[in-house]
Amino acid sequence: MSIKKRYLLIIALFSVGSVAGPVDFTQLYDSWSYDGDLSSIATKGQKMWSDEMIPGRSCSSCHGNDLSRSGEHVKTNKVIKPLSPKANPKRLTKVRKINKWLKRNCKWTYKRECTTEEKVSFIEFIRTN
Amino acid sequence: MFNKYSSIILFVVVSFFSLQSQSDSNIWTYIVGKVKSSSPVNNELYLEECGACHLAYHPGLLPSRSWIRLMNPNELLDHFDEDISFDEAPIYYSLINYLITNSADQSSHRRSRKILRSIEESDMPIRISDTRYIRRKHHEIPKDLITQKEVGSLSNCGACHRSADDASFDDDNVRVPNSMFRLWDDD
Repeated sequence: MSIKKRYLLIIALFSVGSVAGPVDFTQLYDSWSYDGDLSSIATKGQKMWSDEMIPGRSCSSCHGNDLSRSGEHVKTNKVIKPLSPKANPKRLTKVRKINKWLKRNCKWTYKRECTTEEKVSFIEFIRTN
Repeated sequence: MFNKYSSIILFVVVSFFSLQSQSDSNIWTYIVGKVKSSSPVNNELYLEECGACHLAYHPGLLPSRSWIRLMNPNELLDHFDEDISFDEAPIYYSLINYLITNSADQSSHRRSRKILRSIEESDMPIRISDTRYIRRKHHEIPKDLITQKEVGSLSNCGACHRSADDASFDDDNVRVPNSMFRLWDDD
């Protein structure tokens, strides 16, 4: 491999690395076409966190109320690592995972997918806790 | 030198052993059965997709027809009371491929074969704990030790089988919570 090619490869690798950076939340919320206010939405998310729209089912059923601590799957008892990015830096680092789990868990908790506002509320609550 | 027949025999023998050395299962352990219960799960995708909510059950604990039924899109809409439909086809098909290629019918492990033999050919259970072999092995355990909070049900393998993650289900690694001074007949 010539020196030139080697440099090109290194540059290419670095540019790939920079694409997989932290999640751009403004961009994420745009992708959900959210154009509302963000100022007090985390508090809203916190309130909804333990609300049981279906008896016995809320976010806290499995994740608990303290996001810096582990939760437990309500049915299988499997430990779920903390949701708080401060306690668990891997959280909220992949858009694919954020969308996947919001969809799946809203369907379990509410028997429907979450609205855009609900999704933003939850993510903002998790981000700031 | 070699005549035609001896070179054919030599060819067959050499290719048999060279294929065996490449293969995960081999004919000798197929005959006597492997010591380990079933293959440990070493598939990152499976661990992430399925192991997030429950023990990543070793595919060798059910026959392929069970996994195919379990992974049917209609079945996934109500996967033990949860809609876990997969949006990404490549992930979905990779998981199916992993489950089938490592299912009990493909396994030479001792327990996989026993589980397989205990299932009627017309049956395709989607609960490992519904198979006759697993039921028989847990038959003698007092009910309350299974339903207690720390365990819940037979599907929570890891509550008692401390090496369940490594696919080792030997009695030596079993600790049933709160079972001190309780005795029951082992099968």
